[in-house]
Amino acid sequence: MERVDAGLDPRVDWRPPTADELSMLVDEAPPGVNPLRTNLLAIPAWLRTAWWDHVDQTGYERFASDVLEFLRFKDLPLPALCEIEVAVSRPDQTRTRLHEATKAAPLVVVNLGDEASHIIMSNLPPAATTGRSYDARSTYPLMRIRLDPGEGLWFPPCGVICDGWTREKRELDVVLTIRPSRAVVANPV
Amino acid sequence: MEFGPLDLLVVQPTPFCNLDCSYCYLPDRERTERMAVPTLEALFRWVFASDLVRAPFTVVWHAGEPMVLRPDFYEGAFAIAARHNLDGVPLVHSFQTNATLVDAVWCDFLKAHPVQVGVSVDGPAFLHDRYRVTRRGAGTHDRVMRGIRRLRDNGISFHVITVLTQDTLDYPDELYDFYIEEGIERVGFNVEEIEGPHRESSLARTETGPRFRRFLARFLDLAAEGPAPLQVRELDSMQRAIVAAGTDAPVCTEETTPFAIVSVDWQGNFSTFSPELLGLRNERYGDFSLGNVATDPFAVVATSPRLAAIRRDVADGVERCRQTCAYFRFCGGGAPVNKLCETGSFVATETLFCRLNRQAWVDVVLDRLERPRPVATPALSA
Repeated sequence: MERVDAGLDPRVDWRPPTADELSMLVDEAPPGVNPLRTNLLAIPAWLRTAWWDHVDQTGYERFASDVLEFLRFKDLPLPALCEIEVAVSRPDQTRTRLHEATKAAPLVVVNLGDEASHIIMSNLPPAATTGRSYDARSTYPLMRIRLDPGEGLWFPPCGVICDGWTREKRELDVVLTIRPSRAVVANPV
Repeated sequence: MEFGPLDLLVVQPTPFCNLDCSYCYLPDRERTERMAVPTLEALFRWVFASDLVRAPFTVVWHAGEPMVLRPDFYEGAFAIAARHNLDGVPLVHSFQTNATLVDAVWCDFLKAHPVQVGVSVDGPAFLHDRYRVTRRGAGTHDRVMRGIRRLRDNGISFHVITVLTQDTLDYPDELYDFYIEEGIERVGFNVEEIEGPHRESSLARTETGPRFRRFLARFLDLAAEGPAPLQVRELDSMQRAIVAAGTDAPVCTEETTPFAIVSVDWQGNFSTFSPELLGLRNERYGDFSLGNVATDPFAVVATSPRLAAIRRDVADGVERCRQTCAYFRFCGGGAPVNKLCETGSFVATETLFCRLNRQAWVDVVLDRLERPRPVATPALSA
């Protein structure tokens, strides 16, 4: 990471992961280290097409419901109530605010666009990326995962911070996120 | 009439198949013989001389890859069939093929003749290539898709048959995607059966039932409500069976009705009931050939003790189904070949085939019929 104005941004000098870093992406993290433990997924082409067919129409609710139905068929442990959002970001940004402090952490992200997207992840706690804590860890590596169109990630609840990164894009970045809903539902009984 | 009418004539032009699918039921698929012209003559003479032809019927060229013989073989065969069809009974020729040998000559032939084409393909490559392989074990998806695209480019209509295995059950969306992307509009599902030399099915596990139903439910939702509708053979037939089950119509099936299906191998030997019986051997019954079209007229075979023994056991098996199975009204007594291959006898009831290809379908289709239809919501204002 590097300081840019008042904030911290991912650097641009990406490199392939070492074997130890790669092991953190799967369930082989050493004891005491927060594993990134992400799971790749792919939505069917018909579903991604449905997004583009309905993006200017009133079919968004149907699309969102179809996405949830598909992921539940695949046995993703989604909560009963979810918030689904599609974020459209311009190219050449080092962050797209997929993971905002005011919202629950994303459970799923999916690239709905026609071009590869990148997701940046960190397994540091949020407090470690501010002030003096950052100065002590400025070389701590972030992980960047490339998602082709229709591909996505599923994050089990393990404290991973993620964000979008559009520096290498030419087209708009279109990423769907699913979060647990914070809505309060009245007890129907 | 005691037998027939003939509805399906399965003809094995050659036992050879250029593929070696791991779930195949054909015992002699490495043999390269072909049906000779005199046998073709005897076959259609036998068929039209029998009193089985009382309605339009289908001739399916199968049980070996039919396209390993060139179109000129079928030009001749179709002409022979027409020459013996003195009453002009409507008959439809049909090929069930793996499509790997479809070329320009085949396309010209298929465009020139009103032939139905069924292509065997198990979905996207990662599913298809697990089972549908060459003798060296290589996947065949690329070659099948080349054939499918040739058919499509030539405007030749076809349906596909997909064999469902344990591997398929997690991928209804991916399967649907495949059909849509390839412009496939009509599909039929077979299950990986325990038949002939294929003694074990990946579907024969205790957890398969719920997973199979879940797969069907999801796939049928997509087929009915997805962006491109798909016609599913089993859905159509099960809906018809469900409607018929509410009437007093007799419950019977082609596979349990003697001579509704006639299967003829490349040498002219014939059998009836399930087509897969021809070529099988069994301790109790020996083989299932009832005679040869060149030497055994139908009238003689119809009174043979051998047919009577098989027929009695098939009927006893159906009767047991009637007495014990809650699904009998929708099914009519199962498939004799599956009873035989799974239990060793026709006098049997429930099989893996029944549980998946009948009971699961009934449950899922009934559930869909009984499910409240969603009420259309008014469009949101922009």
